[in-house]
Amino acid sequence: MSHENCSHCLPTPLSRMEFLRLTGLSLGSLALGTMLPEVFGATGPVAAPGQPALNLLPRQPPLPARAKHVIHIFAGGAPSHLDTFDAKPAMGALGGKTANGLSGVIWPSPFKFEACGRGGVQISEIFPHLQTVADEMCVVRSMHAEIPAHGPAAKLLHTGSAILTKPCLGSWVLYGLGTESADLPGFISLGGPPEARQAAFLPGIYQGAQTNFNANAPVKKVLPNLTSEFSSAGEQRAQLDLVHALDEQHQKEVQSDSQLEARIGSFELAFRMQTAATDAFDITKETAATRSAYGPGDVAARLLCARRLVERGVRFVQVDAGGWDHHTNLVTSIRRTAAAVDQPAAALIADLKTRGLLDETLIIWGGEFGRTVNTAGGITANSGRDHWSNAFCCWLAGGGVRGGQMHGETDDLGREVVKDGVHIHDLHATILRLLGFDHTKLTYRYNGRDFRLTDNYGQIVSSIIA
Amino acid sequence: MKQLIPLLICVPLGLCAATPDPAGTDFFEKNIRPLLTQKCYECHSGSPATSKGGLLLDTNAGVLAGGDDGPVIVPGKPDASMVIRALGYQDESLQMPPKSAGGRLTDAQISLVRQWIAMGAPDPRDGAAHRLSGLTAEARAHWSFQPVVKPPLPEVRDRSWCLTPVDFFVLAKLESNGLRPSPPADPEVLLRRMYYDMLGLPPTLEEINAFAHDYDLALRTENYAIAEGKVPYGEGRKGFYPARRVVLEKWIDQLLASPHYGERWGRHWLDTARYADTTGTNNQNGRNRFEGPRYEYAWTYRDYVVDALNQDKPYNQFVVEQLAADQLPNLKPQDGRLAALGFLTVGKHFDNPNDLIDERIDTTAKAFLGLTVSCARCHDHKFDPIPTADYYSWHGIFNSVEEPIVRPELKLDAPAAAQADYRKRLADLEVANRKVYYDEAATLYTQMLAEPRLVEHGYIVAFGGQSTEAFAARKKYGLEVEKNNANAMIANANNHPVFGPYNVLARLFHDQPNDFARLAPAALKAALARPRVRTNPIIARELAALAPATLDEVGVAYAQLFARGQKDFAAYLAARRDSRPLAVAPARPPDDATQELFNALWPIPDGREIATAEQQMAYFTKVQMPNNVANLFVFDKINELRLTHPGAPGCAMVVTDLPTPKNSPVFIRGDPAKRGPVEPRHFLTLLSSGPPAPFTDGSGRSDLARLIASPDNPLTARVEVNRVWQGHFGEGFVRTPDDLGNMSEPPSNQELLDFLSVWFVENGWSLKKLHKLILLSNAYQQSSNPALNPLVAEGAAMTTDPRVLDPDNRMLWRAPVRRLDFESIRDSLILLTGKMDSTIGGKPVNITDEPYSYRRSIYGYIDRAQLSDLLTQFDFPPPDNANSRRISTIVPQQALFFLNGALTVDVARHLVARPEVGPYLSDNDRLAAIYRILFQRKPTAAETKLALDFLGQAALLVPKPDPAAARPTPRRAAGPGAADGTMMMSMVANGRAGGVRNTGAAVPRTPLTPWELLTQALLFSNEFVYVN
Repeated sequence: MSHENCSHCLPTPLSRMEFLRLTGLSLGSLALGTMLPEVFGATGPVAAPGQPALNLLPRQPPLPARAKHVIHIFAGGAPSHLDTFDAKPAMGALGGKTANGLSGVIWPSPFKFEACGRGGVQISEIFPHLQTVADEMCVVRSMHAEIPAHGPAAKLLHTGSAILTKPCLGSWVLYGLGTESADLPGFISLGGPPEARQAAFLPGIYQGAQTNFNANAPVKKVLPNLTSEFSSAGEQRAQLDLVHALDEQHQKEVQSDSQLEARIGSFELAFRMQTAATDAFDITKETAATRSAYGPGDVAARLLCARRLVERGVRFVQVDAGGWDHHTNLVTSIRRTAAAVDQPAAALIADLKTRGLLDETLIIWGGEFGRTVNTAGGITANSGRDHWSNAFCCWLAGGGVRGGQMHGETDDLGREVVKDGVHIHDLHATILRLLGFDHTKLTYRYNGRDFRLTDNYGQIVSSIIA
Repeated sequence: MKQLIPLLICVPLGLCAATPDPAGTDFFEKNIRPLLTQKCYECHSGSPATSKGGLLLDTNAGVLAGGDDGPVIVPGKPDASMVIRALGYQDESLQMPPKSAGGRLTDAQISLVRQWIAMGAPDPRDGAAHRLSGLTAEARAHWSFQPVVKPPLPEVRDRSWCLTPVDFFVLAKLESNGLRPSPPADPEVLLRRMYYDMLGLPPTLEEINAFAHDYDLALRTENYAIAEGKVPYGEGRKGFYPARRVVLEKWIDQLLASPHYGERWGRHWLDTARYADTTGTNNQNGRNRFEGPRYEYAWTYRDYVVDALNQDKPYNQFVVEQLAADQLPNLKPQDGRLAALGFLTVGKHFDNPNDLIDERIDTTAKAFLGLTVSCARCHDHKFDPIPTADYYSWHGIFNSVEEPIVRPELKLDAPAAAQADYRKRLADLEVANRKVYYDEAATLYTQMLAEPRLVEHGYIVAFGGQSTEAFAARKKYGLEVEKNNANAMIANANNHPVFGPYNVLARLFHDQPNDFARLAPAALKAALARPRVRTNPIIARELAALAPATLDEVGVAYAQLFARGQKDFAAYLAARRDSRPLAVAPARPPDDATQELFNALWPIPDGREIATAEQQMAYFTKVQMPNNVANLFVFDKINELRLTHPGAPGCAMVVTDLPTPKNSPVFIRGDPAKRGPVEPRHFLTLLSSGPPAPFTDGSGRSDLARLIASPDNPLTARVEVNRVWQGHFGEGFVRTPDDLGNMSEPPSNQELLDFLSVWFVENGWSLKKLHKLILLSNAYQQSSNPALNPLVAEGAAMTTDPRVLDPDNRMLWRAPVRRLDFESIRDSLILLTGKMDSTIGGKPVNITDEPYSYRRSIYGYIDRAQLSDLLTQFDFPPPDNANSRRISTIVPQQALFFLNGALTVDVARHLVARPEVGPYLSDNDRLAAIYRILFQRKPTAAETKLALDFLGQAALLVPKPDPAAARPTPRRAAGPGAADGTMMMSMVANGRAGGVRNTGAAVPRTPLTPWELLTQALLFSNEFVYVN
């Protein structure tokens, strides 16, 4: 049933309540399209003409979309592009040498790179599993930004602004597209800094729901107030039935307001969320085969959970997979950090593909900047790399991304972008385009100005798009 | 169409560029537009009058038309295009971009331009488009910038409806649009509305009954009069005095006299003032490295606001105090008004001082003037007549203030014992900090003397010198002295009592290295014998016999002397710590010479200089303590103590003017590296008659405040009146209360807004009077039920149905239905637990987590860096900007808070346990008692039946009490307060950014009884959270 018709299918809110009781249907058994307007307000106000309505109804983006869901894997700490996806074979000869303007010595990556898949995507040996799904991946080797400091750079990556408090990518996406999940929040954060889920000046409905999710956390505590420590489901059901009946009486007197109806719906949704969310976050319900495909650890649990959420219509899942700040002991540490995400990320891609969800699910992996080609002192077992924001990398997969390719190039030392640079604003513009938006037109009026994710910047990188 | 315009323009010129195809557009967007923006627009955009060489490159038409020297490009022919010559720096006289603006482009960039011209110079830009600018006559003519003129009362058809001037304007609007007002709401509904509007809390049933009786009677009296053809306040026998007014005045006066009024409306103002208790970052972004992200005293500003509203401080005074309380003429010691300056200081912190200044400009302009002045930081405002120069005139003002480390302490009404306990705890912590410092100093001194290079010449002196080495050494040992002192030391290098002789020889070595051995002994003797230069006696003694052949020997002599002194260092340190003269041995007299020696090498501060936490912060910041030492200080504990101890006083978060205020240059495009002309500090041009006069009094804050608070300012009163209206009708006349500029919608009733604005000023800027005027109006008293509107009730056709004509109720044909905001919901729940703590003011508490605080929500601790999810879910606005309007959203997380959170359980348990709900009553009477408390009315028969049915059902569901199954609660909160019985809270995790944790018990995790389940369910109902 299409939601455009929902306001006509039943004459008044009141009779809808009666209808539900008469037919013995629970609200949950109604089709999504008829349910959501009731829950979220069919006639949400708009901030300014031409902007999306302030509700969570699923809606078509203005342009043809390739992706419907996003899983953003934030590799916080800034992964070394030189040891992950930006192979620099020519650098080998310069190992241990000094260079003008560089302190310490040049340190070629100690890892072997493999040209993987039909596209020959260069992937470091620290990602043996990702090497097998290279044909799904578009590796961007020409990312660049201005700020080599974690805090502001991460903020820039998540919100498009390093300084001001702006809405994050996920909030913009939810604002633009609404959600398809009737009983889960549309934007869920599985760890990460606050700016990775903040709605800032967008209405609170677009904020990423904070969770306490990890491999062994109790499912009932994943969301605050998710379950009651005082009353049973049966008691709550009886409570809600009573309240709905009382609210009907109240409605008769007040005679108004879609908000009142929406609030009734929100209690039903909350009631169902208790079971829906505990189910969605319960990865022990996966088969042993699936669980072992993702492997052990928290990142694996998060990515598996992300798949379960996307499957249930959640629009945007933010996943924390950090620990990349390898100033020292890079060789041993980066192997460990990479291993935590390698198998589960590859499994996620394969899993989504098997389930037919990869085409509509955009996966993004990347950190806030890259790392230096030089290492302080000489090359030792303890060597590490420092912060570097002029060049770094990320990868995208699924959701309309042209896989099996590498985009952009850096110079022979991996220091500067020399071809097809992609600023974070450009990445944002491209992500929004994949979701069906012109990034210059997805705006929100606040304090007298139309704001957008990309501010005054951003170019769509069309070659990333299939 | 967009592509047609350039075509039409350029065809007659015969210079037509290729109609851009997607590839051409793409090439332009990707390669050419960024170049133009970055390298050319600075001079070649905007209006022809200001662009250089008459060349405008910001439109396609401009590019094709060329400048004073003719066309700059010939599409398709790069070599014939002047621009290529200019870019290539081929002519001495034509080089673009000029060296002053970044110089020649790279070859790669030039070749892109070449390629673009060769492609036919595809350019998708709309040739007709002009740059947006608010510096236009049209923008200046915007209604809100015009003087406020009090409009006459409009003519209305139904004068009998008009109880106050407000009603004339509302009714005139309705009548002219074919609408009619709604009848008065039921008194029960009206009183509840008034209570929530004014206090944010519900009335009791007793209050409702009393009010309803009087109000109904008054209404009947009025209706008789109206039936006799009289009108309110009509002339002579035609008029009557509205009886409702007598009733309402009494109740409104009571509400306005309640201290809860200040809490309710104070919270509204705090939304505007972007109030929070943290700096907004978890880094060390305080004003110094030891001041964490928690504001210790933001709450004093909050309390000032509550108090100012309760006192009905005239709004113009309220404005002035928040901007310049420190400059009030009659300030008393500990003057509470100083706390008003928190308006400027409780905002978000930034690393970049210009961002902090911007934050203050932005909030000041939005809060008081409803203007988005900070849009003009990088360019002239695009919509309002605010040039960039005006922005930088304010930049100068806010750049000429500082926040002193020592803040004025305010009066504290706390028991003497609590205050004494606080002083003692604070003193202990300060002592602990001093101990850290002196202990570390001893360790570091020993380390320093063990430095292998200490004996090398120059190194010792390095401690007093300006070399790189000197800085490094001082940093390492935390010896960084104040710059001025260092400079003085350098200036007096040769006369320094300790290092003077060395410096004399060092100079000799520098000037005559080859003759040093020959000249040095005599020079040293002469240096020691200088009549007007005092030399430290120990140095004099040590060097007297020295006949150095090299400068090294002098250095070694100094080093040995210092090394020998090591044994006395402990005594020196103790003397400094205890603020007494150094006596190396107990029986000996003070040893000034030794003390001077140590002071020169390592100036250990006197204990009195680092006695207070503020002095310590200042000193330890100045001397750049090494991290491992800095981490030992207990500033976090001091911060926690101040935020949580009941005996801790508040301080005003003031700003003070710099001794020499300075004007700021315009930053071109907001870039501090690109300085434009210096702009004097002055008021906005838009709001000045003629060129604004420069501010001369200090930073200019008091002048700024005076001009904002002037009755002649067309914005100030309008902006505040609009907000007050919003507080009573859900929306203001303009629905963007912090922006009444050109980007805002036209006001829904400008005559009324203007009338009220003038009235407000005429009535001494009294907010309480303004509230009263509004509440007395018939417009305010209307029913919210659309079905009761006469047009709806009479079955109006679609064309006259107000629900169709004015679906948003902008003309106020009925009262709005509003959901309570977060604070009112939580405060109502807290009130209903029967445990509400009605204390006004004080340090922040945790309002979101167990153990619950039973204080009102305005006293909640707000961490802007990690705004509580509960607050966000209930639409609490981000406290980073002025946000005077809350949106009202509905999300399931709100429902989860009601369904599963412990607070509603707490309420239900308490209500059921209240004596008037006692179990000795019949079920019907018990239910009635609960309804009285929750909804201030009787349950209907239908409601009673539903409830009783529920009880029957619940009795079957609720498990029999099983003592073994009961969870082992209540939990006790940990923390110092809980342990020692004082009412002191603690900070969660004791981290730098940790929030506040309350003392008290958690709600016991035991099952609810049927009556408790019923009561809790009633809290879920819409009736509970909506105001009609």
